[in-house]
Amino acid sequence: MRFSIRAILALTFLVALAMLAWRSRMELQKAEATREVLEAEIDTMEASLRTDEPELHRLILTAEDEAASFQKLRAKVEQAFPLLREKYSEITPPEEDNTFAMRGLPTLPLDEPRGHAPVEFRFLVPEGRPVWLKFGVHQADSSSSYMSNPDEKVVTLTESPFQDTGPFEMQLPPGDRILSIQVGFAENDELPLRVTYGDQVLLDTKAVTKDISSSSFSNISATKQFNVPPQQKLPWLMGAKVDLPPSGSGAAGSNPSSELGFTFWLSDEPSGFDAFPGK
Amino acid sequence: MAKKKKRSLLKILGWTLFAGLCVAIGGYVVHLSTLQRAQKEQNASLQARNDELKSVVDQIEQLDAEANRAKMLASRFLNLCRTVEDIPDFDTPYVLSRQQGYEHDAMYIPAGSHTLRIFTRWQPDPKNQEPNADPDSSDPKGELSWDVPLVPDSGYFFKVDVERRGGPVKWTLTSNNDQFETRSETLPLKNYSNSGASWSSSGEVNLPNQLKQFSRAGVTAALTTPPPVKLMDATLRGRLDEQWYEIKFLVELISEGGARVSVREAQRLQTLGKADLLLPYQGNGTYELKQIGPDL
Repeated sequence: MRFSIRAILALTFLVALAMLAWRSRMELQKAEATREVLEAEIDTMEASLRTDEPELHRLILTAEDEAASFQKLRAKVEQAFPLLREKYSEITPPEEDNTFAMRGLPTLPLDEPRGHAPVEFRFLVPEGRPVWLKFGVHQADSSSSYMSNPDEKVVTLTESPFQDTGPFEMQLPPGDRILSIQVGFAENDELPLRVTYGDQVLLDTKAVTKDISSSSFSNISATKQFNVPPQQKLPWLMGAKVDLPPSGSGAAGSNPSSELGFTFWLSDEPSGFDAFPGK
Repeated sequence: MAKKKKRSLLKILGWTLFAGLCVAIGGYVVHLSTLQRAQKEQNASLQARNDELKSVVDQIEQLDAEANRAKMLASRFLNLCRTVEDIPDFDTPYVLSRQQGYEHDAMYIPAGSHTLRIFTRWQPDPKNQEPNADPDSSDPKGELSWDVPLVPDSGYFFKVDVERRGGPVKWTLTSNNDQFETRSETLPLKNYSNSGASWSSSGEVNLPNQLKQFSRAGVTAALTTPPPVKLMDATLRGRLDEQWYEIKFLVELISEGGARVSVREAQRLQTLGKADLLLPYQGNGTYELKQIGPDL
């Protein structure tokens, strides 16, 4: 059978029409699927908001009053804290010459709601005495021997998940300044660490490794001023432990230990470390 | 002649079929597009509803997060208070308390009428007996309890005083409000040497008489006896003369009025069908349960 042009055109038209019908059906199915998803989401949310019960729904909306109470509580804390901090940060210059004085300051995690409160110390560095601030990253172990003799006991690493591993040191200039150590919240495979001394940023770094989880730390308890006369050793300040995932990271060396630590301490003489990198 | 007729018949049939198919499929397409348009309209209004609900859900989640932050900051702030004068006038409906070690409990008591109940119990330490201990010995054991009415809207420090090397066991309650007279009591134990202590605190930001047990029994009990807020629960261990002893301190706040619940908890009660137990809403984001006489 020979097909005329008219027949071929007619057939083509029919096929096109059929394809249009097919596509329309697909789109309708898609719209229906969207409807089902939306309805399911709405059902879930309405269930949690209990819109089926006007009484309950009204109750839920009074949550705003509760929120206002808590906002007020927070505002009171923010208002009262500076006064408390001022009261407990007073420091008096020691009478004896070349005596170092320090005091731990009360802190709150006002800027870092999920992170730790910063660890802060106020230092009075005397004119005639060298005071070195040191920082090192090291393999953490359970002993706290570094607290008594960090210069000897802290075995610093030069490579670690920290972007700036150090070790670092700095001679503190004479005067009255605040050292602030802020360990951030571990998330997105990062743990931030920021250190300032007075107006100067000493360290603004982070440890980057998969599944890094938060750290724990301890610091010298210096709730009252204490003085360190020239013949006495300057103290350890703070130590932290960072939990790394069990698989470990190559940067921490071939050591299977999955705990990393970092320590801040003061010393009478330099160790030949690099200077703090700053920002 | 017959062949020509047959061919034209076929032709007519063919074109009729063609026309028929066109109409059928065309009609189907029109039908589908009508349905689709209707569905799209419905989806649009569903999406609007979905967005509206989502913004309320997100808002509530954010309120929860902010509430938790406020509670955390209040608790940490109380931990920094070293004297009762450091506690500011929070002007909040919540009872704030923070245990600082086993000895100190810093508290803020809100408006209303509140009584502090201090309960102590002392006995030979059951876990730490001397090998030849006589279980029927007449070693002193006993309990004592005190109810101290408090001045509202004030800060308090509850302190336990013990010695490491033998001395009395004493507690002291001070306030930053002049209207409250410092109260101090000594336990009838002489020469107690403290070695250590363990303690727990039941959450540091509470409503007065906050309801915590939502079981049927818990709710029913709360209607007759509103549950006090536990502020301190510490157990001291040490030696009384030659014997190992433990001394328990339990400090609770009993407030006037019924059990209280937060908005979230009021929702729970509503869901459990117990909304009739709630008094009308008075504001502040808290609800109070009715109080039923014990004879009911």
